[in-house]
Amino acid sequence: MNVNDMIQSNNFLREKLNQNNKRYYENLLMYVRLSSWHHDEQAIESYLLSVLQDILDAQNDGQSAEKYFGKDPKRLADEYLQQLPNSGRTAIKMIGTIVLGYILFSMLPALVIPTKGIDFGTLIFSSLYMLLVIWFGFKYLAGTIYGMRQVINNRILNFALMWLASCLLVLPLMLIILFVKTPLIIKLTGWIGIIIILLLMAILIIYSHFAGYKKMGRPVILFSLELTLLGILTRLPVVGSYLTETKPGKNILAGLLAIFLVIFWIVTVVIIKSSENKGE
Amino acid sequence: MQPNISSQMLKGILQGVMLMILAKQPDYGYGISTQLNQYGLDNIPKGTIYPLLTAMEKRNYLVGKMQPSENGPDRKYYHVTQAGQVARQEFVQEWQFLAQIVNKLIEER
Repeated sequence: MNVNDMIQSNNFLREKLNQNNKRYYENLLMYVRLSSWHHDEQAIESYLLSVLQDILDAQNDGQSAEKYFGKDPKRLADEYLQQLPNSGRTAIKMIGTIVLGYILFSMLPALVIPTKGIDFGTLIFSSLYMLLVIWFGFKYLAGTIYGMRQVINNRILNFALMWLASCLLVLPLMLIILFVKTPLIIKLTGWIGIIIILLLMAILIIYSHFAGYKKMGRPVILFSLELTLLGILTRLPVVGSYLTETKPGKNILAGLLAIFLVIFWIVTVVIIKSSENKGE
Repeated sequence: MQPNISSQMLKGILQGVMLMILAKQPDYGYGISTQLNQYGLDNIPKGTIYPLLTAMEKRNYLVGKMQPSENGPDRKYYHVTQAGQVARQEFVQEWQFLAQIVNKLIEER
């Protein structure tokens, strides 16, 4: 059984848990998944599925999840996680997804408009900051499952605190993007620009294959390929100057970008819906 | 009433107990926990057995195989390996040796 099959089975079987057992198990599941970004996904999902099947058996025998698994699930989950070796693949997948996703998003204007430069220095600084924030975010969220929740019971207060924390975390990112300027500015113009864009897309496609993002990666790949097409068009000798320098050309460019965004949105919705229908 | 066995003492013993149970017949998580209960270890939180099973797999004492279960989807059945059989025998010898000493001390109290 591969990871996706196990997640699918888990989602299906979880619905058979009674309310209390479901709450107990879902806390465990969230805690383990948030704490295991550097552990082997296959081992983690196999553990989660085994525990779920066993809790279901216990439930059928009239035993609660807490009575079966124990009163201190966090300690027991930590003990299990300690037994697992670190997995470079899972860590690279997580870091790669964040960094590649962020870089692609930041480069959108420069991909389409050749004269817009990309400050790679700023990009590196802000990517590192993003990684740091997400790392602490995971730690914090995992901690809230068995810790903070008991301390701050008020839902609204909890939400307000989360919102405040998110704003405080996003602010430095904005400051980096706005004020950190480095000499590492590269303009992706002409044929060199086209080659770099094609290379970037090749990296993205190979990475998404390596990371196993089959279905959910499709809209991003499609959107990136559309942008690649636009990027190539705007860098071609005659077509490029028409699209970027004349008014009708600019309108066509904006229109195409809008259509591509709508397609991206539709494809994403369709894929999410079809996954929901299959109980994924 | 069952005494609360300290976790340090339990871990070492539980590994040996599980090796003895699985040597009789391969089993999966809930099956193992049911057997532990039958032997009187029903006070132990069964979340303890999962890290132990993984640790024993790492030491090559056990090998997990996905097999169809009586009801529902495939389960991971744990089989004792040759190294596991050796570890089981060592546990039995250590246990008998220690039990002899502790029992003697108890008798002399």
